Amino acid sequence: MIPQNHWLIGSKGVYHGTIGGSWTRIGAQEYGISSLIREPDRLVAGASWGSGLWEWSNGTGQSGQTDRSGQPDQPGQSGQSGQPDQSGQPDRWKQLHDETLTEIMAIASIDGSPGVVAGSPYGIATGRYDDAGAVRWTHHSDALRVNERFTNAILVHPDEPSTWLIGTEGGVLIADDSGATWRRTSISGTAVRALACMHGQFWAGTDDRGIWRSEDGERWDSAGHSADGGAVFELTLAGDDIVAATEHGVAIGDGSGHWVRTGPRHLCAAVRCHPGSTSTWLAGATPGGLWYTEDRGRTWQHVPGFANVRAILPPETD
Amino acid sequence: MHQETYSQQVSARADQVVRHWSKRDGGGLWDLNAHLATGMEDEKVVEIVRKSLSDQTDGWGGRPAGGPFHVYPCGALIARWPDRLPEEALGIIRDFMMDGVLERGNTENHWLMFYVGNLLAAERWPDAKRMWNGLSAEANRAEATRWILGMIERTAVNGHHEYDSPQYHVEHMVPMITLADHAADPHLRHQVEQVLSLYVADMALEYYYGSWAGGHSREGYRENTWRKSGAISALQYLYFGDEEFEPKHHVHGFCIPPATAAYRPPALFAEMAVDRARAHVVKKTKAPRTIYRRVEHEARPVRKYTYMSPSFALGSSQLGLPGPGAGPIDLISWDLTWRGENQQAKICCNHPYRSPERFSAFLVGYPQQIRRQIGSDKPYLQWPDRLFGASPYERMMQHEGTVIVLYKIPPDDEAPFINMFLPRTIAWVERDGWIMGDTGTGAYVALYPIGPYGWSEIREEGSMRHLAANPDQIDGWLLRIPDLHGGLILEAREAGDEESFESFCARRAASEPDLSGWPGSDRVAVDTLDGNRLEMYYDGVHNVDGEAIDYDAYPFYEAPGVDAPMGTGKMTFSHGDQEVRLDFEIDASKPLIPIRVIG
Repeated sequence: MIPQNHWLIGSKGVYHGTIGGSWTRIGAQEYGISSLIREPDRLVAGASWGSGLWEWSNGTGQSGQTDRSGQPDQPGQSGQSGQPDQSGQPDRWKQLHDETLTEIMAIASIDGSPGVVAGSPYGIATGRYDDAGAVRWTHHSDALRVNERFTNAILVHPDEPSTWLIGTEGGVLIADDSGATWRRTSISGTAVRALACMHGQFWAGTDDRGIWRSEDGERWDSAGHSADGGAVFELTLAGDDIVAATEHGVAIGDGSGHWVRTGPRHLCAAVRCHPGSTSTWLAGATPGGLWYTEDRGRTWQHVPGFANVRAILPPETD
Repeated sequence: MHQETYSQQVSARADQVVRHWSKRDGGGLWDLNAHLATGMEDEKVVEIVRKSLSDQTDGWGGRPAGGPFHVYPCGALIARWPDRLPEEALGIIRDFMMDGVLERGNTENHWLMFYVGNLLAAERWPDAKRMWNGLSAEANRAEATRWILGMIERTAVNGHHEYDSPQYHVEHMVPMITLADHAADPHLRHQVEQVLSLYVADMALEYYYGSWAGGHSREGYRENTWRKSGAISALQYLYFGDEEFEPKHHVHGFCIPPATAAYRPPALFAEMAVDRARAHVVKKTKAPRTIYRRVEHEARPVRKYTYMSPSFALGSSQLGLPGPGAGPIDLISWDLTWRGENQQAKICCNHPYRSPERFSAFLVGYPQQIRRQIGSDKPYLQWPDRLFGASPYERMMQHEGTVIVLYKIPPDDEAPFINMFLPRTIAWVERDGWIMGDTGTGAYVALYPIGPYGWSEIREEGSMRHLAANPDQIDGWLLRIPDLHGGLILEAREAGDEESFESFCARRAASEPDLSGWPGSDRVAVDTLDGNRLEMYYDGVHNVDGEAIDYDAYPFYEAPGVDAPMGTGKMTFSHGDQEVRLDFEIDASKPLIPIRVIG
């Protein structure tokens, strides 16, 4: 059982923990994690370099392999790690991919089972369980141009669950009817690695054109960028501010187009804010590891033990 | 040769290989097949299995960890030696396949080894409710079968994807050989036997005295300057014979499983491989490269043309790459080979393309840092003296023994030059811009560098880090052409067709290539000593005697005795009174399995 007040970190495996506490790998897998979904009864992790998509049933498995504070996590020691598995089985991630799904770059939760839309260099795909209990995937991007298939980010429309904004190597596209039809948008010809819905608007981070916002996801307006520029890998809300994970570290914006870079200069692939404290953020660098701030980015502290972090999910509760 | 006679010959060579290899102590899972065949004590077998599968995920409660190079040999051992493998060793393998943290990898050979091993484990323990990945044996068996059958069909329609690799071809053949012997599903076994015939045909059609002539999807660092390159030498010896047994080249750990296997290829291919009675052209079509971003278009099919002459082999490729930054890192587009010393019998050239885009065109790391990431593991991929790897700025055409290779390198490219390798054992002659040599093995060669060149040495010792155990990586001449619009014209000839080497030099030097249209009109032309005129437009038509080459019309294979149209999955090979007919029974109405691997 992963405590609700724990952060989740996608690195070489998936870790959970708290700032100032220990970080414990969930299960034994050491795949390079690119993306995470957290739901009450499960975690879903997307892995790159051919390792596919995995599901961790939250509540039946046993976590606890490596303690990033340097203290081995022993059964029963930390209150949550090493709890006996109710089924008597060893801890185990369950494979969700098949022979057509690999190199997961982005995932998002959708209705149904397995309830995931997955993005890879080959486009987006949705799955269904077969009689043998394995998921078989259907790909929806085959008719697109090469760069438009390569998927970096997926955002499910908050009001229309079957409409998905897809950040690709060729811009933002809109997949309607769960990927049955596609629309191009005004962001085209540049890689988009970040998508978010904040302050009632859609936001997109590009490789070379800064940050953009849109009312409908189709027509986009520039929302500026920090003076340092560089690719934008994640956008998230911190109180009234918007925080961007960029090629040169974290940048903070107020939504008006003014952005200020802060903290260590590294390729920041992920940044998230604590739900109970708008001053507390966790940032993941690739390479550079895990960093946190408790004063809105003024001071940053390195968390030892991580080399590359590409995905962060905040606690569900404070 | 009768099949029975041929099979006996293969068995004799297999015994030779196994006897030699079994004298080694220790080894790994692949080598263990030789030890099991020659009666190693159970205790030592268990020790090898335990040691080979000793990697664990870190931290408390770590689980066995491994990838395709573990998964396949585990499957092969339990399938090949069910009565010989000690229970304890079997238990270690079972733990690995049921509780391990396994990696699938990202290349075609990785996935094949992974899925074959997974399939054989699922068949060995069919009632397992939960294997290593949380899925049942039945689910694992079904997934592996779908991928293997799907890729066989895809190969039969489009041509092999990870094609003609002197190193990695072995990692395609060997798992398939295990399946041919042991897969439970008769349909799968049939299709596997058929695709093995294609793989052996690929080897045979361009086999040249222990070398694999022409272009390759992947070849090891510096190995494209070697006549005997990669693990394929061991399979070539096993199936074609043709040479005196030389353990250094003819025994390789990866080729131990086939040396202990029952599978024998059709004898016809061995005869085709060593039939050098007359010069002939081999054409092949291969699947497009997997390029999934940073380009505007899909890659097109690869078209290979290899001229197999009694005293030399010259091969080139139309790569079908979609432009910058597509430049597959291990790709070899062309070379000339003759029967000389191992590292003194090749000529090749390339543009050592480097670009921030290059790795991200087919690898998923962030483009902003993948160059450093890959370069840290494989620094030689960035070295200026590199002689392998594709360049988006290279174009070529070939007719029989003559090839034109042209480059148009952008001014801001990081490597504004071309590298050419020449062996140092030849007494080169320079006359009127032509560099000419007598190979001493029945072939003369003439090269005309386009652009100024500087003559220097290239010498390097190697290590396993470069996937090449040979300590002498390279030792020869490096001609660097520091010209954005450089190139090369090369003509190779049978010495027997000339009065003398001096006569060859005089005739060749008397005819200057037509460079009046280069680079202004993108055109270069040359008259061959046989009187053919090759005319090449850099991004345009390639003419031979005024007739355009239609690369789109290339069949699946074209060679003497081979009838293999494109896209049908049907082909016939004949040699003497023997014939092999293959029919993969492709249902054209069904889509092929999508390609999801690189290579």
